[in-house]
Amino acid sequence: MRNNRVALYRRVLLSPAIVSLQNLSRHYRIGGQTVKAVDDVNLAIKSGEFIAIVGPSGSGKSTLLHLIGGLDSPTSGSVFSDSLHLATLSEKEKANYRNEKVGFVFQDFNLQEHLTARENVELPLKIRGTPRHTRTEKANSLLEAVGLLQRALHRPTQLSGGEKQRVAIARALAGDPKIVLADEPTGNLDSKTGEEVVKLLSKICRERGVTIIAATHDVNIAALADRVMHIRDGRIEETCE
Amino acid sequence: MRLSDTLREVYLNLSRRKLRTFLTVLGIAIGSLTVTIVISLASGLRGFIQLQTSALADPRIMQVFAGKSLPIDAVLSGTLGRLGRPPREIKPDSGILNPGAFNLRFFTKDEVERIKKIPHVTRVSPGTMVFVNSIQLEGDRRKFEVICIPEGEGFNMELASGSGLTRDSGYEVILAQQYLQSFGISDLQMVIGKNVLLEVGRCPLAIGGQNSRFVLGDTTKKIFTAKVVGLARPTLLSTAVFLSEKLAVDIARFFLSDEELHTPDRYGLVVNVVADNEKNVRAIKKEIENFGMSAISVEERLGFLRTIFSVVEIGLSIFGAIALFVAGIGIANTLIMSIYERRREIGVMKALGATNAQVRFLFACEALIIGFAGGVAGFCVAALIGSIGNALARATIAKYWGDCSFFAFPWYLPLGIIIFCSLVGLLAGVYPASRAAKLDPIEALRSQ
Repeated sequence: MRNNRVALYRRVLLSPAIVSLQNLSRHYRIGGQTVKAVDDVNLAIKSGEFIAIVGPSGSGKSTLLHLIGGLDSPTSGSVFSDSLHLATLSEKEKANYRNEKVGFVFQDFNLQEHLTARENVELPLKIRGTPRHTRTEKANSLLEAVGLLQRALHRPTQLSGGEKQRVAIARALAGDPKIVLADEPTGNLDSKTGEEVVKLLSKICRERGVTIIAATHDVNIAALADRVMHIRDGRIEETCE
Repeated sequence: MRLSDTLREVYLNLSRRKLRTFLTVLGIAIGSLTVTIVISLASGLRGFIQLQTSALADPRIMQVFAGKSLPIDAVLSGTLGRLGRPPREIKPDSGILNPGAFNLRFFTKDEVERIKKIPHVTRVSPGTMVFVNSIQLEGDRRKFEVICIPEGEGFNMELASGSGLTRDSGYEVILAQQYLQSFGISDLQMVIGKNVLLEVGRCPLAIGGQNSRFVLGDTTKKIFTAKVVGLARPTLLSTAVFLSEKLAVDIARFFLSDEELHTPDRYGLVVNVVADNEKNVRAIKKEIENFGMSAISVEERLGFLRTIFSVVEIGLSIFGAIALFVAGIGIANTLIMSIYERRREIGVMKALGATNAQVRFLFACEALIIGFAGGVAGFCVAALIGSIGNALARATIAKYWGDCSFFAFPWYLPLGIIIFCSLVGLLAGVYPASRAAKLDPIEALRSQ
């Protein structure tokens, strides 16, 4: 048992993958039945890669992102991310992992309504305890990168859907993460805006060498990705380069 | 997260639902107001009564009885103390007395001498029984009501004008300053040196000493003429007239139809003992009790007043505490509602790296700030009410009683109230904060 574990660590740590999923499963008990949201997934994602995970609703895309992001814990198997074995981390270490290594982009933006665009971008740095002027500078540069510096003091209710998602991208990148997990980032946008947002996300991440793992239905995202993985009933069925 | 950022976040969160925050703070403020008013009123009244009584009562003086137990104690522990239980047998030295069978006797000359020899005793004088029907200024036909207090009875008046009574004074008195108003005299000095007439009737129930006659139903009256030597500053006792020892003894002898009273052989039922210093009262009292006598100090006589105020204060404070408890439930309710509304936000914060402790701290701070704000607001309103009350008191009754503050706000009151309210808030926030911290981020992100 111990030898197996040592072998697993050695294999993962020596590989160039930033994210490695080993026999990863996440099962739920709902109404007396077991639902296999993620079922025995093995996957290695290289640093700087753009991965699109495509599949129908309920196929396990979001669960997979939650497991990689440390928001959820697997029923079995392991998630290695940036040399960290997530199952071994305490609650606080997982929170630090989410704050420092990962950035989230959600389908419905999840911006804090009572904060301005800039304050929303600053949020991960605020949680980290970064001094105000440092995080304001950082937020301004990111808002400039997503083309929204002039809207820095606007609240989410004063922004369009595309603008909100651009603010969310800036927020995801504020903590200088190594991985951005995007869960249906174009799901609430029209196709034209969605395409613009995805291109922007891809461009900024590639410039910064950030790995993108995006769960999507959107063919535009799939077209921009380095690899597309099809998931159905919690299992990865095929991978297209 | 930095403390300044947490506080700003708290401010933003609380100002989002202004009315709800206001009502929650109002709940705490009402509790704080109630507790502050109760404590400040009790403290103010206690101070006022203490001021009034200490102005009258000299803490160096104690009353001494020849018996082992004080008459009032004996009565209370006797008949009244049974409260439905079977009557007890009265045995010698058991201390059990029926009302009327007071354990009183006259002090002997030797006993008085023994008391005089106790270290730090400066004076021993007989406790006299003085009742006067009326007082009038010589040359004025009008009679006024009066309470006569023999000098040396433990009353400690402050002179407004004139001189004090000395042991060797003849028939002399000091009047409460309020008499000037009744007499219609405006100048304090004008009354000094004038004579007053004190009308005394015999006690119609008295049976005097060996040489006295049976006087049941006697209505004989006598006028005692005394010189006014001073005026006492206004206190609650506005009808007080302080008598010199000689005048008090002579009035008592006439009143009780006993010319031998307060002579060395029939010194008195009660003697007043004066210590050189308040600090020595306890030691003297102990020494007197070792002689088989009993003594009660001014401090003990006033003790019951403090007990009454303490009981009233505790009783009213309980109402305030209940108000604060209810307000605490209000805080918990507000925060729980807030958590329901902000589930998604909490989920986002956790996804962005906030730890459970950070979320818990944020909500605990919100509760603490609500409690703090309520405490401050309640105290400020209470201070305003207190100031208005004190101003009204000064404008209306202070002219009779001297300076008075019914509401006292000692330095520790705002500090205590604000800390207490903040703690109530914090305590009320413990459960909601812990609930917010334990929220599953995925569930929270899914909620609408």
